[in-house]
Amino acid sequence: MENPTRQLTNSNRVQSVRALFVGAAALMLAGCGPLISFGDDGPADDVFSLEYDGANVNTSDMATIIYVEEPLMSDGLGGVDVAVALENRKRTSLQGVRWSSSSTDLIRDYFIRAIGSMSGTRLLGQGAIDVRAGCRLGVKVWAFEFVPGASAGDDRVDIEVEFTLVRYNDNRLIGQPTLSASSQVSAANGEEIIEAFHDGMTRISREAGQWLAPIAGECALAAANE
Amino acid sequence: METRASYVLVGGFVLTFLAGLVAFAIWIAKVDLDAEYRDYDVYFEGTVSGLLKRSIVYYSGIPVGDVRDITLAPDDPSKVRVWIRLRAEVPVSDASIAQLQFQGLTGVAYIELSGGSPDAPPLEPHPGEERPIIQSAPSPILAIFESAPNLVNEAILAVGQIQKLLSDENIASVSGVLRNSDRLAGNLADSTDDLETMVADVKEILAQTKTAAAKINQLVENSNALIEDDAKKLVTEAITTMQTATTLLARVDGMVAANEGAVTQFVNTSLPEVSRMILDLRVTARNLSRLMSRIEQNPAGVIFGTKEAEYDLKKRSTVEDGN
Repeated sequence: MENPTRQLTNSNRVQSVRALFVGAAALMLAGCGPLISFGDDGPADDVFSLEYDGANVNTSDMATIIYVEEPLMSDGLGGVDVAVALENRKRTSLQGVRWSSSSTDLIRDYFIRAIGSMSGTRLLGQGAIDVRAGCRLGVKVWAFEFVPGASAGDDRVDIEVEFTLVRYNDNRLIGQPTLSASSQVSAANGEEIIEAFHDGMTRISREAGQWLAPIAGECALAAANE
Repeated sequence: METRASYVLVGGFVLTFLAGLVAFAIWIAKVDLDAEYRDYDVYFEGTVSGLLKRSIVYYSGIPVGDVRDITLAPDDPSKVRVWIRLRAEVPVSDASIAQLQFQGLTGVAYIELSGGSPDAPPLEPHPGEERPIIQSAPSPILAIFESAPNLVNEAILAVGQIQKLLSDENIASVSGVLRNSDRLAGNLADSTDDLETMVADVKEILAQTKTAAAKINQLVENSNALIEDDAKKLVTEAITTMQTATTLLARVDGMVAANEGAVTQFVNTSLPEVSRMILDLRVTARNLSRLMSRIEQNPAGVIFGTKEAEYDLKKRSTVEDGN
């Protein structure tokens, strides 16, 4: 039969160890404090989307299908920040303004709808998996940035995109134009800047549609099978 | 007392004397009253120097006529027309040739006829011609005389060349060659022992070559044996391998035929998707590589973000975070 005094001593040891573990855990949690950020109390960012506002004219012609690749963003233009190009090749982002999603996805979705509607060609993106296409349209974004001027009236948005149309069947380069647009920003606020981005994207999509429409036949599945 | 002459006797004597004188003159002039003659023309190219009227015409070395006249040809002054008269029995035909010849070196010329046949029809004058025309041939002696100046010039040139060849320098060179030849012959005579040694070495080399050839022959025979044995096995194994490959290809062909629809669907749909997937994987790999580089360079910056100045639209300048 064990001694009651000895049992009491063991219970105290267990409690002491538990207290030690709790203390250590609290200390480690306190040490991790700098690692965990819950954000500051500053004003919330304005989040904007980039959507094609025109009619979504989806042609019923299934003969010509072009797969639009994920755009390759140049010079750190990707992400949700709105890129700003300053003088002396300085780069930064716009404070308090950001995209609703990665600019890569926004640009791709915009072109799929806009160029498809303006060229009468069926363009497919990431969601159209397992669909056989005649060509693939590579998109390289050289400029997609807000460029502040000397005064508010001189602010503008520059967009420059290089398209590469390649036929799947023989890997032939059908066309590779570089289109650019520069849109004036009417007022120095987030809404007008985003509107300038929309204006530039609309103009580039219109030019891309005019370029793609006459050569889309090269991507017809019949031609691709030759 | 006056001598009474017999006029008849005197007259007869005179007549007999005159007849004898005429006969004697004919005999002296060798006039052949019964002879018949025929006239011909011969046209010679160039000069007939040395040929005169009354020059003799020979046929095979026999005088058969003479030259009656020498004039320039009426139609061509470069030719000379010689009118000759030949005895009628001389066989003159189209094949007859008249050639100008010279007697020795005196320059006396005559005409030599050759050719002709007694059975050939007599030569007749062409229409418009007075006499028949005998063909002529150039005289070889005349050709020699004409080319004599050239021969002299050639001879002078040859003498000049010989003089050049026999110059003092060439003679000295020939003398040097002769001296060297003499020295070479002497050396050869002195090195007879060396030649014998060299011949002995050559014999030894030939013997070694013979031995090497025998070994090569043996090697070839061994190689043939090796090829006959091992090559047969190799060919047998190759045939077996080919048969196996054929069977395998047949099975693959059957499998492809059985799954043609699936294969076609794979080619038509999955392959483009694989291509797109590869492109996406490239983008993903590039992003991961970029992320890993940032983590290696500044791990905290990846988690907390780097301190970056943002552009303030109101201030129209960049501001630090938290300001």
